[in-house]
Amino acid sequence: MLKIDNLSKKFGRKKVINDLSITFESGVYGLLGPNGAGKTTLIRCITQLYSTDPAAITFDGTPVQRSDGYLSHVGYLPQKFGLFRDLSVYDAMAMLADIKRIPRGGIKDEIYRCVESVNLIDRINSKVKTLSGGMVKRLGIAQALLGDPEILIFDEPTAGLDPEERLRFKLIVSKLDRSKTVIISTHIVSDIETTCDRVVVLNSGNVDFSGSCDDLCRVAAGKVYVVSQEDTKTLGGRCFVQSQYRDESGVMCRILSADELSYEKVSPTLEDGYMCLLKGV
Amino acid sequence: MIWRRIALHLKCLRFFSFVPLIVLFVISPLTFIPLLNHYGPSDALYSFLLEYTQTVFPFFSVWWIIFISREYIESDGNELLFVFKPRTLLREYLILFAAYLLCALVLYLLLLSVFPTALLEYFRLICICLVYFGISYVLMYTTSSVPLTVLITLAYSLMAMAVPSEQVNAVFYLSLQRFDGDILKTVCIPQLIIACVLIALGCFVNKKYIRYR
Repeated sequence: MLKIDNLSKKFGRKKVINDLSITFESGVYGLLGPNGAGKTTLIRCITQLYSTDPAAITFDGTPVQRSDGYLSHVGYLPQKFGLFRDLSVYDAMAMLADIKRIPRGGIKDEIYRCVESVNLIDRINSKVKTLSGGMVKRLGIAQALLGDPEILIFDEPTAGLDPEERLRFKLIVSKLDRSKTVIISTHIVSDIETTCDRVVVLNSGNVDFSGSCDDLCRVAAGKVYVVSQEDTKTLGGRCFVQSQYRDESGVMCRILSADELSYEKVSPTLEDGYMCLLKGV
Repeated sequence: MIWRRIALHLKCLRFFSFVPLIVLFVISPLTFIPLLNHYGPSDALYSFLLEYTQTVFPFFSVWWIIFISREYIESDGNELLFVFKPRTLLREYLILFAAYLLCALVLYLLLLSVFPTALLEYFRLICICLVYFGISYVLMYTTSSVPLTVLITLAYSLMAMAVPSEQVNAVFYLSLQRFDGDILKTVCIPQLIIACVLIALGCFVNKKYIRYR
């Protein structure tokens, strides 16, 4: 169990994380938030890339700074991943396995296991620079899996990926052992809709929400309407336009409003709940 | 494990990993042997040797160190490399630096047959190279740029050549004077002290490095 207690982090005078407390148990967590919410900073605190107060982060009851083996339980995929481009996939994995101090015995099997789990086995001897963007991301996921860590952290893992690769990522996550703690940080709600058990919404360094996906959907219950684009002009500032789409009637808008409106109410989605929180609806 | 890591780091450099060896074992002999044939073991040749080894060799002594750091300071996702301990690359740097000096020692041992004081000059070279080690270590983790580190290090070696010192010192160290007690006191010992300070500072900035891409 990874527990964060009253974590604060500032850079100069700017407070990026503000007295944040959250517990990550086993399961898949979606860490949602807009750009600048503090998601990456939180992750860097968890991975000890940024120094933190000694008791702020504990793993199985032990402060991580005092736990020698803590980082061996962590697998991390940063937001950008493009290391060792002139090495082959195998050599890059071997390098990262070495950096992670994975025991030498059985390392070859471990590399093959991880590369196979991300469907890159046919490119294991190819140079990293010859891989497509999606394949490089998959390599990043593979290196995070090295050593079978208990905590897996993926920072914006689907950024820049095409729909097929995003689906592939979701399939990889769905196959992970549910006893692990998996944290997927993203600002794309659809990334976590089908993969995550619980959602944490960060905004301006604070936790705005922590709960299940259904709980987040319920935040928007009774606040989601479908109206025509023309009607949104009459509503003015009483609503927030969540999305637009075209159907037989023309351009329709999915809006969020705390006011009781005379339009068609629809069932809320995860994205609706998320936007309600962000926009204060 | 560290040997495998170093081997992979050098593999990542591709052709660039051979540059110091080419300088030491190809370019230097090709430069020196014709001059030896022409001038014999003379003072003129000794002066050339001093100038050549004090400007060319120190710059390439930090070549491997600078270029293997590229992944750590310039690559996308470099933060991943700083998650796991140790966060500093000092061991790798020292091993590669020592490897370079060992290769240079081969040349100096061969030079012994021509100049009996070659090993004293080798000691002088070690002191100069240690300063370069410290300078490049600090620069890499303060500028976060390999090209800038190379440029500044190169500029320093050119400066050492271009700035004539009435009295040599630890900073502008280029001297055509044979190694003696004066050189040891005024140049080598201060250089060792400066190098220790710079390397310690380099370790500090390496540990505190948080410029993640």
